[in-house]
Order: sequence, then C-alpha cells, then structure tokens
Amino acid sequence: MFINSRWPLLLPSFVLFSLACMVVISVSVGPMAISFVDSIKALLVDWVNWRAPVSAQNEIVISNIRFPRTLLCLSIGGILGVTGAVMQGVFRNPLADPGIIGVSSGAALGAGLGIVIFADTMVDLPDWLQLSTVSFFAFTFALAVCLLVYKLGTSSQGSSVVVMLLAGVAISAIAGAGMGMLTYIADDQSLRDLSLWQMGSMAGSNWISITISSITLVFLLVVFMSSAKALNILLLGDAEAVHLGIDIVSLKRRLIFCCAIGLGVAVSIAGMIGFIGLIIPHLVRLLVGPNHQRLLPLSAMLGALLLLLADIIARTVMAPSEVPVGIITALLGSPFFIILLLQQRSKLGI
Amino acid sequence: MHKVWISVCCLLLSFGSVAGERIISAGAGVTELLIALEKQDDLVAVDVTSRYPAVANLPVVGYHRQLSAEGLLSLAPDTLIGSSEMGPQSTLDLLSRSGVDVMVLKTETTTANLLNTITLLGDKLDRKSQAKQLISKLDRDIKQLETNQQQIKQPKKMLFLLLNDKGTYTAAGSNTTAHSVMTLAGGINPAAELNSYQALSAEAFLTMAPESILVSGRHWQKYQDIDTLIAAMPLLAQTPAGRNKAIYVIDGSALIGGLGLNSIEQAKQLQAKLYPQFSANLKLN
Repeated sequence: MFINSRWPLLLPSFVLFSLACMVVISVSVGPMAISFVDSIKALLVDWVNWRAPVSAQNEIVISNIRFPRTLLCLSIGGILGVTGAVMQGVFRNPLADPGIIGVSSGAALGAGLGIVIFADTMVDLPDWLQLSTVSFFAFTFALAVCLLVYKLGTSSQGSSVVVMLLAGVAISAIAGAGMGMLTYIADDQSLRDLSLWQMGSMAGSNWISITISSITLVFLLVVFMSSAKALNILLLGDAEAVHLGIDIVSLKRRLIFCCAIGLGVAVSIAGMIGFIGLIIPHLVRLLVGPNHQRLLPLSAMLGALLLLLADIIARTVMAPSEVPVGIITALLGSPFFIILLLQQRSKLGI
Repeated sequence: MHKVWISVCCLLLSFGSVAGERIISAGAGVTELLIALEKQDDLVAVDVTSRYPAVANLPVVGYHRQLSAEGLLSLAPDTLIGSSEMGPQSTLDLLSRSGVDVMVLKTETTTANLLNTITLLGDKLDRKSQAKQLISKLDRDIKQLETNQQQIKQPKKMLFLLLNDKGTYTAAGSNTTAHSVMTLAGGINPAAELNSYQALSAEAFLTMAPESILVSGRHWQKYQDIDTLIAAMPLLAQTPAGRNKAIYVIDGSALIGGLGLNSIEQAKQLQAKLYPQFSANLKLN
C-alpha cells in the first residue's frame, strides 16, 4: 500500500528519518532532567573533544548510560527484526519467529544455568565476569541447540525444514522442563534474577556488547541481502526453487545458522525480548510487500525503531525504577499488529 | 508521568538544601535501621521491599538487584545505602563515579551482624548516640532471650511454613530469618538440616512432627482460623501442632532482608507465647 513506484526510496528514507529522530529523543529523554541542548553538548564533549560547559554528572549520564543504550537498542532491535523476517521466509510460515527452532529457549536454559547453578560458585568473581558468564552460557546453549536441531533435521537425503521445526518444538519443551527444574531448585534471589532476565533488559549495555551486536548485525545484513533474491524465489515453493537453479539445502542451512548466531547474540546480551521478530516482518510486508530486498533492511530498521521506543518507555514510565523492556515491546507491538491485521482483513475480504 | 517526577524531584531538591544529606535506601533491613536511627527525614527514595509507613510516600526505585543508574541519579542522592544483594555492579560503579557515596552492608541472619551494622550506620551517618542506645536495648533483649532459652527444660519443635494455594508444605531451613527468629525464641527447627526455603514431601513433614507451626501474617489473612487452615492443609491434623492447634502468626515483614529490629521484637513475642512463664521479663512493646 505504501509502494510508490515513482519514488521507491520514499518509505526507506522516511523510516531512516524516524530512526534518526528516535535516536536523538532516546539520548535526550530519561529520568534525569537534562535539557536537549545539554545532552547534545555532553555527547560532543565525548566525541569531538569539545570542551563544553556540561556538568560531570550530566556527561556521565549521557555518554555512559543513555548513548550506549541507544546504540545497543539499534543493533539488537535490528538483529531481532531481520532474523524474524528471514525465519518467516525460510520456513514459509507467517507464525515463525526467530525462536521457533528452539534457539531462544536453549539460550534461556543456558542463562538459567548460569544464574541458578553458577551464581553460588561465582560470588567471589568480579561482577562484570558474572554477567558475561550468563551471556556466555546463553550463547553456547543457543548455538548447541541450533546444531542439534540441524543434525536432527538432516539425513542422507538432505535436510528437512519440517523435521527441523518439529525438532525445535521438542527441544523447546526439553529446555522448558530444564527451566522448570531450575526454577524449582533456585533460591529467592536467583528466582527473581531468572524471571527478570526472561523479560529482557537493555540496562547491561557496555562497549563490548555494543561492538559484538553491531558486528553481528552488519554480518547478518550482508549474508541475508546476498540471499534476498534466492529467498524471493523460495517463496514459490521448494520444488520450483530447485528447478530455477537454487541450491535450497545449502541456502536454508546458511540462513538458519546465521539466524541462530544472531539470536544467540541478541538473547545473551539483552535477555528474552519477544514480539519484535514476529511482528515487525509482518508489518513491513503489509507496507511494502514480500520482496525480501526491501523487506530485510526495512525489518532491521523498524525492529530498531520499535526497540528504541520501547526502551525509552521502559526507562521513563516508572522512573526512578525501570520496567523490563520485553513487557513494553509486547504491549506496544501486539495491539498495533491486531489493528493492522483487522484493516487488512476488511480490505482483502477474508 | 515524566513531568510529575521532575516536579517531585525539584520539590525534593528544594527540601534537600535544608535537610542536608540525601539518602536512598535499597533494602528492607537498611530502611528499618535508618528509621530507627531517626534518619527518615533524609531519605529521598527506597526500594520496593521497604514497606514501612514512615517511608510510604517516597519514590520507589524498583527491585534492589535491578537498580537503574539514571533513575537513581535523577533523585540527586548523596548516599546510597543497601545490602550486599544490591546491584547490578555496573549501576553501583556509575553512581560512585558520579560522586554518590555507595555503602554496602552485609545481610545475614545473625544478631552479631545486626549489631555490627547498626554501629557502622551510626558512625557513617553521625547518629552515634542513637546507635548506642539502640544497640544497648537490642543487647538487653537478646541476652534476655538467651537467658530464658537456657531455662527451658523441654524446647518445642517449631516449623515455619509458607502457606500457598497449591497445598505444598514449604518450610524454612537454616540460613533463613525465620530460622533465626524461631531459634532466638527458644524453639527447635526440625527442618534445620535443610538450607533456605524448601518444599517438604508429605512424609518428611509428618516425620518432623512439629509441636507448633509458625506462619506469616500475610498468608494467615486468608485463613484467619486454625480449622480453615487444617482443611486446606489436611496433613497438619496429623502433627502434634495440628492436634493441639498450636499455630502462631508472625509479622511477615520481619522475615524480609535478613535479621532486623522487627525480627528481634517478633522473637520476643513468640517466646512469650511459646513459654508464657517468661512473658514477665521480656518487656514487650
């Protein structure tokens, strides 16, 4: 509906512009009352060594809290949006989200192990090491689950996406049982940590996590964009794609693997943030249609936009305390999505 | 919402210039002690577990393990005081770098740690005389509780139960405040070999044969009387406690955040109920 054949770049530039505005808002809004001019000045102090009259406290808030968080939201939101779009394309299933092959539940189980079992043995370690242990476990488990699902779905006849999907469901169930067991044996502290982790948070942003997630996002975009045409052909069906000369086995393997890496990184840094990977690709498809060459970059941009907006709300709505961002993404995304669906339904008459 | 908070902050800031120090307390035990040391006027915010009438109108900074650096900074505090469970470390580091004095106090279930914490806080906040008074009163209470304990010929077996709708029997083991309170009161916790709170199997519960049951007041509200409780948890009827209807209620807030002032008070009241012969010498409030 928004495709304008005369100006194909109209929508992307509009989204990009909104994203830029949202970044500025994200840096200048928060529980601390810092004026817009001061926030920009504080950023400049850090980045161009410009000696501006900004209080040291404001500078710390802007350059150590708000700005890193903003960058992290951009990269994590982008990863979640684009992996969601690719998963829906590969599985040709509109209900597929990045978690469908069991990667997020695997990551959750890993993080749970890190929080519950290893929390006691690691109290003597410095805090940043404890935090990265949870991330490390989450990532390792995400990758292990992905490999396992792939192994289960592959036989001598090639790999079957349906078997992978079902294996993902089964492994999610196993991971769920593991989480249940961990919840059962956890003490009060780890129980609360565990439940908060599952709701996602961008509070753990630091330069290491920003670097890792940005590199991952760029890598994913490069891989996915180079497969965008093949993904379009895949929409016709597996047999048709094979007849058109696409090596669908290696294509799907590559895409699923990259999604798992992206999701592992996102979940291990920010915890479980639902709905972006499911809703954003649908939203973009409603706006620009199913062409992956437009769908993929726009999904990344809109994913980043939604996560950024959700994080701004999470930080400010209950200040001085903070709401887990996963709650906000679900609350923001779902009603909007329902409205869009209803509109489309009346339009298409289904 | 945002604007409301800003105006609240501005209002508090204007008071701050008169009142001196601006303190944020993150932890129920810490807040309780600050109130006892007459520091509640300097408090600008508390965490979500600090539910005392004296601080009911203050902003809440959320859960003490998930403190938001900017949220706290927006209250312009001079000092942040919390238990060793306070976090995350990255927030505490940022606060220190912004010039906030971060004070971490140990949370334990021992009386020695409670007395030590009061001394530390008194020195830190210039409330030495109040701290001294508080310590001497607590010391007296604790000594009295211990003297009474030695005179008990047959200590009663007492189990703390967390009541819930699922009908599971979750008891307090060692390293819990409930265990310390029961021990101080002169009871013997048959679940002491367990660590922290654990769900008991029906058989384990019957084997422990508690002579009295302790429950939290918050849970008790739902049942109000012993027969309703026994109807919900039928195994109780098979224990000496259920047969003698020996069920005691304790203020649940005394069990949160380590052994605190209210925990000692509750221990005194519990001892007076368990062993009425001592009620005269306990100076109950």
